Formats: sequence, structure tokens, C-alpha cells
Amino acid sequence: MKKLRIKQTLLLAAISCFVGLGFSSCNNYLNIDSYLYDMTSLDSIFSRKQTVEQYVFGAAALLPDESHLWTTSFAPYQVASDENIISWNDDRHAGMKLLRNEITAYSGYFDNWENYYRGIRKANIVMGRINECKDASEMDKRLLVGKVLFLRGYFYYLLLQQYGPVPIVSDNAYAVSDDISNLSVERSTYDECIDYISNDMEKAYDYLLPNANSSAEFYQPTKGAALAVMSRVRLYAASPWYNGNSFYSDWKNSAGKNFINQAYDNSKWGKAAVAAKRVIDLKLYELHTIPRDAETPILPSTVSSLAYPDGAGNIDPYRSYSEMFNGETPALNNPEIIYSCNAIVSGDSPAWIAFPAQMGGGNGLGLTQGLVDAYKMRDGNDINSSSAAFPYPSSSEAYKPIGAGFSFSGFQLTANTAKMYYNREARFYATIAFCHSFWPGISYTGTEVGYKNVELTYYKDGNGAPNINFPNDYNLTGYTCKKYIHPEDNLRATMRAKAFPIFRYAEILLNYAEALNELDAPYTDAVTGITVSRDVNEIKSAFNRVRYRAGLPGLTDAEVADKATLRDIIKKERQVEFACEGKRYHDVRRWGDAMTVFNQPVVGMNVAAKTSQRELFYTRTTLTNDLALRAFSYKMYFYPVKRSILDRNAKLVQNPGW
Amino acid sequence: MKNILIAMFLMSLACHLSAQKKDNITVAGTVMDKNGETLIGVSVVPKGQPGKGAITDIDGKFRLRNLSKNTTLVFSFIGYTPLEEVIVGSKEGMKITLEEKVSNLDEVVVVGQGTQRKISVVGAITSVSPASLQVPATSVSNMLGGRVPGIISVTRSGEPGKDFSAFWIRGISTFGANSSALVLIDGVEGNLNNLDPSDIESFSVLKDASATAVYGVRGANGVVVVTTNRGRAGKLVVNFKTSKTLSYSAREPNYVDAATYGALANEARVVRGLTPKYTDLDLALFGSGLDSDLYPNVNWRDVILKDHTWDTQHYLSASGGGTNARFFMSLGYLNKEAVFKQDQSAHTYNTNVDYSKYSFRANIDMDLTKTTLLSLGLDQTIVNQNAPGYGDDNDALWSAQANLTPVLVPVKYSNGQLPAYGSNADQMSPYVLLNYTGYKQTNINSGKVNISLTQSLGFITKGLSVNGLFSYVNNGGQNIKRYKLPDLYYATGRLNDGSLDTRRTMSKADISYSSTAYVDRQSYFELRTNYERIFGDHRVSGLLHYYVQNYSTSTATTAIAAIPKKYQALSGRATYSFKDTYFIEGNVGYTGSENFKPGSQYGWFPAVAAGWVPTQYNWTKENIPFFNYFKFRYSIGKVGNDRITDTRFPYLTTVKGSNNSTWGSSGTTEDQVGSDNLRWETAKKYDFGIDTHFWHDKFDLTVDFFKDVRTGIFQQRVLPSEVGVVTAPWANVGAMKSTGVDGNLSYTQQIGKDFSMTFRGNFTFAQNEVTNWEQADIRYPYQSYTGVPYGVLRGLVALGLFKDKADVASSPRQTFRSEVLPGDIKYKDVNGDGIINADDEVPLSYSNTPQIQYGFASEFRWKNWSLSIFFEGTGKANFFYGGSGYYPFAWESTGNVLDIVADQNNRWTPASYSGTTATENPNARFPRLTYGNNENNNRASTFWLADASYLRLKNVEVSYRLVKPWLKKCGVSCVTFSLYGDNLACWDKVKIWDPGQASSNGAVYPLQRTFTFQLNAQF
Repeated sequence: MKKLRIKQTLLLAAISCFVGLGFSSCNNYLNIDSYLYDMTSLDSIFSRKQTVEQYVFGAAALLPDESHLWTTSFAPYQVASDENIISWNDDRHAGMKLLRNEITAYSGYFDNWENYYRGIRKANIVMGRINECKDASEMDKRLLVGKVLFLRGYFYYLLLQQYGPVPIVSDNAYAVSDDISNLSVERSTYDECIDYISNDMEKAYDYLLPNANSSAEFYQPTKGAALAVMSRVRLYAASPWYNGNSFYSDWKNSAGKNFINQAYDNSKWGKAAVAAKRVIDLKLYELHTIPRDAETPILPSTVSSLAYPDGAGNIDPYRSYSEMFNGETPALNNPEIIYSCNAIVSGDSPAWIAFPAQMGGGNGLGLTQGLVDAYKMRDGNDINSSSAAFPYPSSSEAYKPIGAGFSFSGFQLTANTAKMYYNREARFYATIAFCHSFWPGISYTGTEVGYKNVELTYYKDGNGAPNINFPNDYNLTGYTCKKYIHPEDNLRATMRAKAFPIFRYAEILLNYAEALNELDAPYTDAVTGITVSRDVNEIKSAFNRVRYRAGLPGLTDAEVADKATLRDIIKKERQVEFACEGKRYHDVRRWGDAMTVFNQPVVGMNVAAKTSQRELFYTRTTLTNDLALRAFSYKMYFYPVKRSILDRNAKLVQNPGW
Repeated sequence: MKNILIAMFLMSLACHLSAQKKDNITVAGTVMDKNGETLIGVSVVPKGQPGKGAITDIDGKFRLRNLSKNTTLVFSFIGYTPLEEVIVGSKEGMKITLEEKVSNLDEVVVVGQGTQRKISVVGAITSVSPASLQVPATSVSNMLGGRVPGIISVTRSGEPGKDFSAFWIRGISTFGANSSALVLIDGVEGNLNNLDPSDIESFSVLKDASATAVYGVRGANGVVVVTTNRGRAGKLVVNFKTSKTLSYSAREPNYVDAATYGALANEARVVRGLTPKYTDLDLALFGSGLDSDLYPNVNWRDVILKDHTWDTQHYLSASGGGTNARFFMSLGYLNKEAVFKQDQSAHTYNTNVDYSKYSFRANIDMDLTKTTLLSLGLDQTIVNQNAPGYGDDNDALWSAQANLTPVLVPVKYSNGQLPAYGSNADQMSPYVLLNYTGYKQTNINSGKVNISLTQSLGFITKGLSVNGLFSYVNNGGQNIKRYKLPDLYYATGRLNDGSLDTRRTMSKADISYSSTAYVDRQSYFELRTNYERIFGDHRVSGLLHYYVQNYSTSTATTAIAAIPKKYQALSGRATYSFKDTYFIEGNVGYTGSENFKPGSQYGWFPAVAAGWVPTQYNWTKENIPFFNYFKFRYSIGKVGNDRITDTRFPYLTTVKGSNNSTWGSSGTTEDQVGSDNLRWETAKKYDFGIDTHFWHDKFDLTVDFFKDVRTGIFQQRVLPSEVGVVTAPWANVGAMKSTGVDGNLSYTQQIGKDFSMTFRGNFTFAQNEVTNWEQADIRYPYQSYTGVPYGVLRGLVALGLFKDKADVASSPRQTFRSEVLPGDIKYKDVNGDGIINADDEVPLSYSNTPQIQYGFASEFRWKNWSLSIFFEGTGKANFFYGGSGYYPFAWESTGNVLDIVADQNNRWTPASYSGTTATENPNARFPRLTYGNNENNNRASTFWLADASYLRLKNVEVSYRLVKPWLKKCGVSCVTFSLYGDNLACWDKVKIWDPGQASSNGAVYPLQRTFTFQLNAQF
């Protein structure tokens, strides 16, 4: 019996040990630290400079690719403008749906709201945690903060541009466990948004570098970029649609404050002018020019032949303008670029939609006659008041071929070119492709005939006519955009790398001229001490640079003298200078002209005409195609906020009319 | 852990050495019941010396030697009251008569982590008699609905291998990620569908908090505890069952033939102002069958479905053993074949949907010492499935039947080309899908080992024992696919030479092979200490339980997801009863899950319960003799549910590479945004129950009223977009309440010697209401998800069909479609804003999970015959009709038309078309036809709401038990012949297909009606 007791005691001891063992490991059993130890966490990101940078890049990845102008674009602006019409009304070209009133608050198109706010949150997180970074110097931290300040301001700018006044969230990233009511923020007013963006850009200007540190950082923002954004948004704020626009008199926040300021404030033009002037005063930028050479055409007598910037005597206007966009001049060497992105060149690129099928393109972009007619004659006269030296042909002559082909500045005009496209300003040839335009595409080295050196026609039976498998791939107006196409480019071969200029110096110059022109009284900026006034010489100096670079005459004294005349001139200059750069829509909106401009019928050449019906083809024809049934209504001044976004924030109100 | 087990094992072996003084007394005799029938397998054990016992043999005889004087022999047999007999000297020819157990007091039920006497159970526990689970069925899960009070179950598919029921204990009480019960097989989490029903020894459903608190964070949705058969000492018992089942689709939707289809298509077009689709000649050609290429008339059901199919099932088990070791082993085989009709000329391999299951189980118990029991459980299930090669599942075979009209394509073009209307799965001919797409196979192999060691610690204090269990489950599987596709064509007309003009719609895919394999494993270890003792009128018991569980799977694809899932828990129970009249029980679980932030991983889950049996008083027995037994039970407690989301570690903010930006590549972004303070979901459960027997014990009634209050249900937050989080974080924000009642009533009556009958009924009603659903702003109160049942169907309120143009004009504008005509559905303007749009959608009645499930059965036994009839029904469930094969012509040329549409009484046709206003039937089942989608009519509304409630004659069984002396001579103790019918009739309002499937368009494998002949022999 005794022996048994011992055994049992031993057993009991064993069991006790066993139980004890089980419990002693209790604390560790559920611990997963061993798995997570080497994984990157949000906390570890902020301990090292390199990983913070990567996080900032991740935030920048939320920026839209603004080089997607037409196809799979981030916003409807380019497609919905009066510059063009697309051959397809589909999800990839949903901008078509805006003016066709097919977009509602339930549509998923251009749903950028949440993404932009994600970028804002990330920027706020970086600003809040930057001091956790051990291996970054104060300079490093300043630069990182500058970048995220730029990002935050830029996301708000993008939101403002698309949706109008938006909620400004706390500068501290919200705790996600907070109550919904604390997380719901009302929309701020338009002016509050402008001030917020300007504020961020002002601080970003302080922290950012004047130039990119290295070519790898070329697409990152600089001091100039921050000021350029400020210039653009200040100009928006001063413009009639957002400055004392009584159309929005009923649109108020919960406190009864108008979302759009109801008292016109002329000094806003002063702020806009100062912002532009600050970019100019950086003296880092100049318009892109190429010296003239033997191939450069002779300058018309109306144009000053002094050296640029006092005239166009020493430059080649066509190359100066075209080579900025087509990749000939490397972006790094381009003094005009203030802020840009790496442009998409294949896939859904601006080149794809313009290129004919022979060269691998979609052949679906039609530019409007309105844009084509905005281009001047070589001597600076409007087509409706052309001179004897460079006459715009009458309709009985316009369709006739010029008879003999020739080339200038490396550009080739075919013998079949209609006379209406003859003797036009340099920017016309750099931007517009028309019937019988020559498409070199010389990077193609294969043997297939017709894949390069194509003289493309948009006749019904022309070589730009659609393939039977893709009956809709044809040009609706007889014009397309070749601004982003280099003579070597060919989608069947190679495409040159390009930078898409989001902000270029020409815009700053025209912003400055426009703001000065509108000023009633001199304005002095409290912070910088800069004083601006409607100084005609300042206006000329800025404006004429753009004109001279294009090989056109500068402003006359009479033109500068009258505010209204000059306003129209500036509007037209912007239309031409920034054609197909995604700016037109916003310009027309801020001027309050959209109801008129965007309700013009779409006019083009008669693409239903056959080669044998040349005169019929070159007849200005109003498109009656279903795709051309477009109309702008007041609500379209702002894009609708998606219903699901409104549903998540009880304090949000929809844009008027949606 | 393993080393320790071995140590324990060795230590326990040592205990075997025990010394006893012997008087060499020998006793022998026969054990029989009160009818004089000898009893086989009765355990005869000298009290306190379990190692020395014996088992009565086939003639009920036993013999014991070397006993000491005054030894007490204990005769025990399941279902009989144990008998004690003191031995004073050697004796031969003893006659021992065992009394059948009539008192329910000692009946034992399986509860959480152990067993309890039924009378002492104060929680809500339903024990299902294994005998009632011996109906032929694919899985035990299919037998629960209507048989087990407290269970709501649905069966949505009849496809072999997918015909398992989903079930919920007391309905769905959370809208979190997991609302289904924890299933424990022999103490370890397992899969009910892998279990052969014949292997089940006990089946308990634990419903309230007191029963499940010991499961802590895993107990909130209730627990199913299953134990499998174990061997009993005694003669070898062999049980063989074999059955053959005839199976066919009880109901299938019927579609119109080509000519009718054509005529209706014309009506659909003409009544909307379009030109007819078919000319009279076309219609005549559809009827004539002259041109089967361009004017086919195909009934796809006839093409690919058989009338019936045969299933086979075999089962063999053997159990027995001596006093030192006992075993139970079983082998099971099940083969089911789908009702698809293969075209043997198309291939040489099997493409039918087959399901076969092989199962093997061995349970071995060994008494290592008189106080030490070692148990081993082995269990292996192999499942092989076969199916045609197309797609990941076989749903396309049904959706194509619903979608392909009789006139669209022939089975085969006369030029030998195979047809497809388009490239979508439901546009290809089901004949091609079944016969020409190769095949896929699934092999699943799951094995489990349970090793358990129980040591009585009576030497420390009486009634104390400790038990350790180690279990390892390993599931592996492989899916292989040998897929191919022939060129498929669609004929658009005839060329000038009369040959078919066909266009290729699908290109040939040469046979390709692909395979995915996976393995997952679960290890489990538990340690349990039990204490049970009687002190006079006081009974006490205690339980202390500790376990750890570790699960990992190869299907996890990310470093985070691959972290093993772990549990660790300590739980305890203490019970006390006085005179079997007053009961009190406390349960507590302290459990943890790795899924939460350190510091928040563990939680306490307490529960208390009390019971009172007034019928134990003499006063009650004398004054209210009507009640033989009456018990009140009440329990309250808290349990948890940590299986709240598929997201692992929702508290962590994790990081991944971002899209490229032009600022710089190798950017990073949050992958998951974590949130603090996350906990499991908790359930506060209340239960009040009554158990009673009355009227001479003939009636047996149990009723439970329950309430389950869930809080902290995991919801992905609906934050304002302006917060800007990359992924919405999770939070414990949801809340839900469910209440209901379940119960059962049975009545047993013996008439004379040979006849007895039993009536049984049970009822479950469980309704829930979401009490907090985090939702952003709503414009109208009825859009709230709070205050309505979870999953309630939402839609417009239909007011009938528009009578005439004036009716349309005077009604609020319906915005879904520009033109609304008489005969279209008229909706109610709920918010009164003058227009009908999505804002007018309101919650309608119920969800598609029934709130009520009930069953009633009767059994009649006469001599060796027995008949049982079982009805099952559900109530308070809805679903919407709609989709291809229901909405006529909504997809223009595709989508079959039900034959009920062809009946003019069922559809609204304008007088301008029919020539009589009689066809403008305001109560028609279908509105004015439309060729193409009618956005006004074809949307969720009360018009298309189907009532899914039904009453089903679920099961009828006739069996005859053959017991003959001549059989015994052959070694067979009895043979039972049974004929079962399953799903024999269904009374409901749906009629066109089975309401239990809640299918919107009937494009599902129909529930089967089966007839089974079974032979069961015991040796």
C-alpha cells in the first residue's frame, strides 16, 4: 500500500508540473510578436528618413496622372471642354457624359473625393509624426514637411477644382475610433479653401528647394511649384464666377455663410497678381525657345524682330512651342516647366487617341472648328480680319489645295493641304492635325507600307476611315491634336519620353497679365510687400513673351488701354496657348462663360464627304451625331459629390442643381 | 507536451500494481431482464476492482473466480438500473434480474466539457437521441431542422456534395462575420459533414450562456457537442447496414416551348409599340421542327437531366472488448451521383457531379490501471468529388438552363458544330458545359487523432479525476481540373447555298491541367479536472478546464494571414444541488484569442443558473399528481464571439508597397488601418425554461424562452470619406437582440403488449432585431438598419398594376423608366415626395432565413413493425423572385419563360392586343410584358416577394425487424428491413420550385425526393 501511495504521489506531482507548465506559458502562447518583429509597421516607418520618404511617395501615388487628358482621365475637364469631341461615349471617355447630362450623383465616374482625402490624411500623418524620425536632420525634415504641405494643398486644390468648396479637415489625422459626429465636417467656403491652399503653399514655399536635388526628383515640387499653385488658385478666386457671384446667393452653410462670396472684391486680383509675380521674381523660369536656323520661316513684318524676349527675331517659333511638348527637349533642360509629371506615352496616352489606326492609334479625338479658328494668321491677324499679305481664303477658295508641298522648321506641309490651313501661326501647326496632315512616325522600321510617313485624310473613304471591325474609330471633325506627338513617335514602334507640364511659365505670365488688367487700384501684399497695379508695361512684358515665342506681334497700345478689349485678347490667347492642356474648362468656368461657350454646337469638317467631294468635306458642318448632343447647364459648374459620400457625412451638402 | 503525456502514461502503468487478498470464491450465473430475456454484455464487476470484472456472454452467462468473501458484485447495463449483490460464498446458477431504468433522474446528458445527470441540468441543452439520427442522409446537419428544438436550418442546394444544411442555434443572433455554432466532435472542433451519422453516440445542442460559458469567446453562437460511439465490454457486436437510394428532383421550373415562347415574345414587343419579333411563318417553323438549326425547340432539362439517379451507402461497425480494453470501429461508404445525363459519345471519362465519402473510425479505450483510462480515437474521412470541367462550381449548368430559351440554339447544329449564344457561362449550352469541358476532381482527406488519458484521483479525495486530451487534425485536399472547350458557334442565318452561316462565339481551348492543393492542421490540448461527490442530500461537482488550440493553413497567402490562429482558455464550473430539488450552477470562462492586441486578448465570461424541481416535494406528489415531474430553470450569462471578421489582427496598421508615383518609386501605403480597443463580440444570454412530464409520464414537455443581447458586433466603420483612411477600420459598434422560444412535446402510449405509439413535436421561433448598426446619415427613418430584423428584404411597396393611362397620369411619377404603361407595377410613394425612386424602398417583412421552424412526428410500433412519419416546416421567411428565367424577356433573347406566364390568367395583356379587356387582369402575377429589361417592373418590390414558408412531409419510414432463432444460429441476432421516403410532399405558396431553396429564379440544383431501401443486420 505504501508503495502505491508513492507512485500516486509521483503521478500527482507529474500532473501538477504539467498543469503548471501549461499555465506558465499562458502569457506567451497568444503572442504574435515573433511574426511581426521583422515586418514593417506604420510605427517603424516614421523612425527612418528613407521609409518616411517612401511613405510620402505612397501619398504622392494618390495624385492623379494629369497627362491622361482624354482616355481614362482622372477628371472630365479636357473631354468636356469645347476644344474637342471624342468618338466614343464610354467609361474610358466618361468626360463625354458630363455635357450629355448622363452623370448623376450616383455615377461612379471621376470618383476622386475619397482618394484625395486619403492623400490629405497621409500628409497630416507625416506632419504629425516627422519628429519620430531619428536619422533625419532638421533640413531633411523641413524638406519632407514641405513636400507633404505641397501635397495637402494640392489635394485640396484638386478637390476645389472638381467639387467647389469642400470640407477642410483637422490638421491632425483623425483617430479612427472617434465618433462619427466628430468626424463629420461641414464644407468650408470657397474663399476659406483658397486661403487654406495658399497657406499650405506659402509654408511649402518656405520649406521646399528652389530646384530638384537630382534628376530622380525632377517631378517633385519646388518652391516655384508651390507659388505656381498659389498663382492659379488666387486667379480662380478673383475670377467672376467665384468672386461676388450672385448666382450662388442662396447657397449657404449651416451658419448662413455663403459658400461663394457674394461681395465682389477687386483686391483678389491683386492677390492673384502678386502670386504670379512671385514666380516671375524667382527668376528661375523662362519660356522655352529654340534659336532660329535656316529652316525657320521669315518673320512677318508685323512681328518685332528684336531678340527674344523683346521680339521673335532670334527664335524658331514652331520649334520653340512644339518641342516643349513632344519630348524633343528633355524636361530637365526646359526652363518653362515649373511642375510636371512623367507623361504617359503608350496605353491610354494623348497620342493613342489622336494617332490613326495605321500607327497603332485609336483615331477617336476630334478637335472642334472653334478651336481651329481661334488660331491667328502668321502676322497676328484674326482669320476674320486677315491682311492682304496673309489672307484667310474665302469659302470658295478655302478647300482648294495649296498645290505644292513644302517644309519649315522641320514641319512638312503637304501639297494637298487646304488653303484654309495655310499661313497660320506656328502654334497651329504644332497643335492641330487636319485632313492631309503628314504623319512621319519614323521610328517604325518595319516593312509594312503605310505605317509611317502617312498623309492622313479623314474623308469617308480616306485612309483615316475606320476599319470594319471598329466602325466608331473615326475622327468626327476632321481635326486632331498632335501636340504630344513627336515626328519620330509611332505606337507601332517607339514613343519618346515626355514630361506633361502641369504648370508652365507661360501660364504664370498670362495669369499675371490677366490679374493686372483687372486691377482697379494698386494692391500691396501685406506679407511680401509687393505692390502691383494695372501697369501696361508690366502687362505687355509678361503677355508679349508668350506672343513673341509664338512668332506673333505683341500687344498694341490701344489693345492694352482698354480693360475689356484686353480681357478678350487674354481669353483668346489662353485658348490657343493652352489648347488641349486641360486648362480650358477651368478658364471658361471661372470667367463665367461656360453657359455660352459650352453651349455652342460642335462644328467640324464634313467627314461624311468622300475624297471626290473635296469641297463638301471642307465645309464647316455642325455635328448632328448623337455624340454631339451636348449641353452645359448651370449645375455643371461643379461636379456632383457622389451620393455615397454624402451618405457618410450628414453635414455635407450637394452642389447646386444635382 | 508529448513528453509529459508519455511520462503520465508510464506513471499510470506503475499504478497497476495492486495487491488484493483472495478467498478463491467462484460465482456464475445468468443475467436477464424482467421478461426473462437474457442480457448480453452486462458488466459484472466486483465493487472497487474494475480490473477483475466480466461481461455476460451471448447466452447472458458470466463466471467470476478468485473473489474474496463479502465482495459486492455490481451488475450494470445501459438502460437498466445497476444491481448490487453481496457474495458470501461460491455459487453457481445465480439468476440476476435487472430492472429497466424507468426513472429519468439518472439519465445522463452530454454537456459542455462533460456529462451531467439530466435532472441536474439547469442550462438550455437539447440532447438528441442518436436513434433519431439514423435516417439515411448525407450529413447530420440535414437532420436537425424540425427535429431539434432551437435549431433553424436551411438547405439551399440538392447537389451531391453541396446538399448540406446551414444551421444556426436559436436563429441568427449576430450580423458579425460568424453566426454559426461551434461544433465539437469528441471534444475537438470539427466538421459535422465529415461524420457518419451512424457513428454518433450522443448529440447535444448547448443553447444558453450557462451551457456555453465554459467555451468563453467561442460560445456565443451556441455549441454542438457530439460524441462518437465507444466500445462496451462484452460480446463482439457487428452492425452492417446497406442501402440503395432512388433520388429525383421533386420540383423543377417548367419553361414554355418554342412556339409559345415565340408568341409571347411577339406580345412582349407589340404591347410596347415594337414590331413583332417573329413572323407567323417563324412561329409555324418553331412548332414544326422542320429546321432545327434556326428554328430549334429545345427543352434543356430533357437534354441534360436524367429522370432519377441511384445512391449507395454501406456501413459496417464492430464493437466489443473485455474489461481491460474496449473498442469500436466503423467503416462507412457513401456514393451520390447527380441527375445529369452524360452523353457517352462525347468523351470516355466521367463528367457527372459525383460525391463519394469513405470514413473510418476507431475508438479504443484501455484501463491502464483500475483508475487510469487511456483512450485513442482515430478518424479518417476521404471525400472524392467529380464534376464537369467548366467553372469553379457547377452553377452554370443550372443558370444556363434558366437562361437559354428553346429557340436560341439547338443541342447541336446539323453541320456538327456545337452551339453557344455568347461567351458568358449562362449563354453556353448546358449540354456543352456538361459534356465537352473536361472534368474537375476534388479529393479531400481529413484525419484526426485523439489521445486521452483519464486518471481518477479518488485517493486524494473521492470523486476527483483528471483528464488530458491531445488532438491533432490534419486536413488535406487537392483540386484538379482538366479543362477544355471545343469551338462553339452561333448560327445567324443561311448562306445562298443553304448551308448554315455560323459565327464562332467561343474559341477552342485544348485540354489543360491545373491543380491546387492545400493542407491545414489543428492541434489541441486540454486538461480537465472533474470533481463530483454526494454528501447525503448534497451533490456537488466541479470542473476546471484548460485548453490551447493552434490552427494553421496553407491557404493563407500573406505573412499576416499565415500566423497560426490560437486560443487559450481556462474555464470552470461548480454545481450544487440539494435533494435533487434545488440546483445552482456557476460557470466561468477566462479565454483568450491571439486576434486582439496584447492586453486585450483575454476576457471573463461568467454565467449562473438555477433550477427548482417542485415535484420532488411530497406535498406536490400528493396534491398535484398530474405532474410527475416539473422543473424551472433560469440562466443568465455572458459569452463571446471572437470569430468576428476574416481580417486578422484588425488592431494592427499594416503597410505595403503603393502604386508608383512620379515623385519616386518604392512608395508605401497602409494596407490595413488598425483601430484600438478592439474586443470580441459579447452576448448576454437569458434563458428561462420548464421541463415537465405529466399524465403518467406520457407527456414530456420542454419549453425555453430566451433572449440574446449582442453588443460589440464587429462592423467595418462607415466613416466620412473625408477622414481619408485607406481601408475602413473595424470597431465593436454593432448591437443586436434576439428573442424567441423553443420547445418540444412528446406523448407516448403503449396499447397492449404489441402496440405503442409516440407523437413528438418541436418548435423554434427566433426573431432578431438590430439594435445598433453603424450607418451614415439616412434621409428617412425607414432606411435605417437599426430597429429591423437582420437581413430583412428591402424594396418598394407595390400597389398592384396600373389600370389605365389615367391611373398612370394621376399617380406619382415613377422614375425608373421613361415610359410607364397600364399593366406596369404601381408603387407606393412612401416618403410622399411625389416621385417614386430608390428612396421609397422600405424594409419588408422578413429575411430569407426562417424565423420559425417546427417539426412533428409520429411513430407506431406493432410487434416487429414500425412506422414513423415526420413533418417539418418553416415560417416567416421571404425571398424575391427575379432574374433570368423569371422576369420574362428582360434580357431580350435570353432568359427562359416560365409556363405560368403562358397562362393568360397570370399576365396582364392590354385589350388592344388581346381584343378583350378580360385580359387586363389587375391581379395578374406578371405585369404587361416587356421585351428588354423593364426597369420599372423588374426591381425588388412586394410584387415579387415570395413567401418561403412551407410544410414538408420530410420523412416516412417503414421497417420490419426480423428476429428468428434460425437467424441466431447463423450468428445474426436481428435483421431490419426499412423503407424510407424523404421530402415526399411539400405544401407551400411557391410551387414552381422548392421554397426552402429561396432561389430567385430556380436556377439551382433542386432538392431531391428520395426513396431508400435499407437492410440492417446485427451479428
